[in-house]
Amino acid sequence: MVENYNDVKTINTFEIKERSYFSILWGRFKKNKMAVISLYFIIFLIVVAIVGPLVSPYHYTMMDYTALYQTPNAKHWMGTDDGGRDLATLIVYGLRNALIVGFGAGLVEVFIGILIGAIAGYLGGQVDNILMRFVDIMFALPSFLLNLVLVVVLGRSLFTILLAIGLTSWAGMARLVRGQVLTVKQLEYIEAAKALGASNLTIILRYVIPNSVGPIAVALSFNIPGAMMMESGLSLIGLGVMPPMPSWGGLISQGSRWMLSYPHMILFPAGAFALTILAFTFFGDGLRDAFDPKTE
Amino acid sequence: MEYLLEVKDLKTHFYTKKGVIKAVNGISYGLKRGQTLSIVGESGSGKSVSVLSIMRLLPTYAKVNGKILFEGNNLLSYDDRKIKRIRGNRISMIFQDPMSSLNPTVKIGQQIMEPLLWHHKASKREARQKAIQMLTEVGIPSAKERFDQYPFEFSGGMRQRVMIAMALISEPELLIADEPTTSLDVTVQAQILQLIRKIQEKRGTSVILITHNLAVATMVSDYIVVMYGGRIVEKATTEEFLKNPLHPYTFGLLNSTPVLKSRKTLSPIPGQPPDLRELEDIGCPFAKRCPKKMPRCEKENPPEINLSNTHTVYCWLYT
Repeated sequence: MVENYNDVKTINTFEIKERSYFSILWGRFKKNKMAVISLYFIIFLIVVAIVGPLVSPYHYTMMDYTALYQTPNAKHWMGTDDGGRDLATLIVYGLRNALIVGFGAGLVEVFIGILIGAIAGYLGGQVDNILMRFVDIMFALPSFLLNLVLVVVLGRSLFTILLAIGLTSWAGMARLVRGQVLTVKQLEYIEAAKALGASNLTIILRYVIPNSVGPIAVALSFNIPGAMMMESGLSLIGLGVMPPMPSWGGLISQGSRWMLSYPHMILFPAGAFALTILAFTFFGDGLRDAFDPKTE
Repeated sequence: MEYLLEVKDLKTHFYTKKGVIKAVNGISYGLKRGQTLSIVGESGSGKSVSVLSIMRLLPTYAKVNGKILFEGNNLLSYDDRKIKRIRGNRISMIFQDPMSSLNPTVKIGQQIMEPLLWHHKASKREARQKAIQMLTEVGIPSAKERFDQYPFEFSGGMRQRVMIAMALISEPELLIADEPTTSLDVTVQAQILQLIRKIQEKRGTSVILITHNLAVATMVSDYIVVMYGGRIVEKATTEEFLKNPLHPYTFGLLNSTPVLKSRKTLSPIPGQPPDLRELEDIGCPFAKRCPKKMPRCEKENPPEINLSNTHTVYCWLYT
């Protein structure tokens, strides 16, 4: 019979290094070089989107008829467009709009997705059945078309566009969350928490959702560029944010008209757009690897 | 002395698509304050289900009948709200697998505090203090530093200590331990059992210990209940149980338990535990494997034979 656990108390001088959950995630995330570069690039984009409009000597409404179609030069780093507007400034404003729409739509999507997914998964039975059939219907409807309708009905402001994109793209998130909840729900620590008197709400908020946060974050990081693409798609066909407010989709569609004579007008916006989407995708990849210890 | 917990003719049946599974089929026992009761049996004998019925932690397709009197009140008549006030407050439970019974995303200390906060028994600061005290009490060194760590930074034995701290922090009258040592290695097993014992003596908590390990049961308990096929076959104080085992199944269990330094060959019980779906209502559940089977064993329910106030066996052999 061992009774020496008390002795252990006498040697409690050793240091215990604090390692939070995030430091461990970061440790795994760091191993993916592309993801780290992408993360820094995304941070850079966010900084540019905030600071850029403040320091730029131009505004997106400023036309200069003495400087039409200029190729990149010292005054206009990325040249000017057919109205003599500074392309760099337009791209920065477009970036700001793209980020707002991307993150905003992502938030709306996560909120609805978690709400519906968690309720369906946790309560199960008929509730689950009805909610999931609704999700199926949302899946079946072509989301681009639905977006068009919503934008036409709600109007064409930045906020309504992100709302429309969020409202049409939460179905996948709801399904994902439901699956996670179903898995987590039957783990032993949930039963242990119940045995110690936890209420349903406590279990969902403190146990189920935190333990599903990995896949949700990963899905979100892939959905943000999705929302940006959707926004560009809308502006491409002229249903995005109201001009003269620039949007990447709008800039690309405008540039495509002058593609042969002034290729810089499409190269810069399309390049910025591609790089941004790529960065989010690589970041999502890294995040997925970090949350999934099996990839180690 | 009054019973703290009295289980009377408890029946737990699962209504599944494949038919009714009679996991627990009419069991009765009593537990006094400050005592330890062990429920012994092989896998599928209904021992876990019987205590989950007490906590009302079963899925909705389970039907529980009978009476579970906790301080004289029938827990089965309680609504969800009332039972939640009991769970983790007056009756706590620890589970078999400490590796998966803690929330991996919440710090250890936070988790230990939570039962107190859920039941509004203490303010955050008091709860924190108490949790650190509890961690020390269950033998976790550097409790203050450990408080802010996550479950994955703890070993299996340490986690089981944390589970015990969590279960005991609100000072329940009854602690249910469902195979608390099964997934731990032997030396840690002994430590954990000793810890439960020590805390129990200090606080006067009653314990129900579920185990399939007879050695563990005889080591720590005052009273032993042997279950087979959803029913009790024998119940006795530990002393009576060791001195005078009566039921053929109990014999079988004792004979198949290795004893150190003994050269005796182990004799396993022939056959397999019954499939609960195929179990008949009538007759002794052990009859098919019993070496002393009589014709009536399969046709009539075994009688309850009281050898003393505390020793009861359900078997036709002793009529």
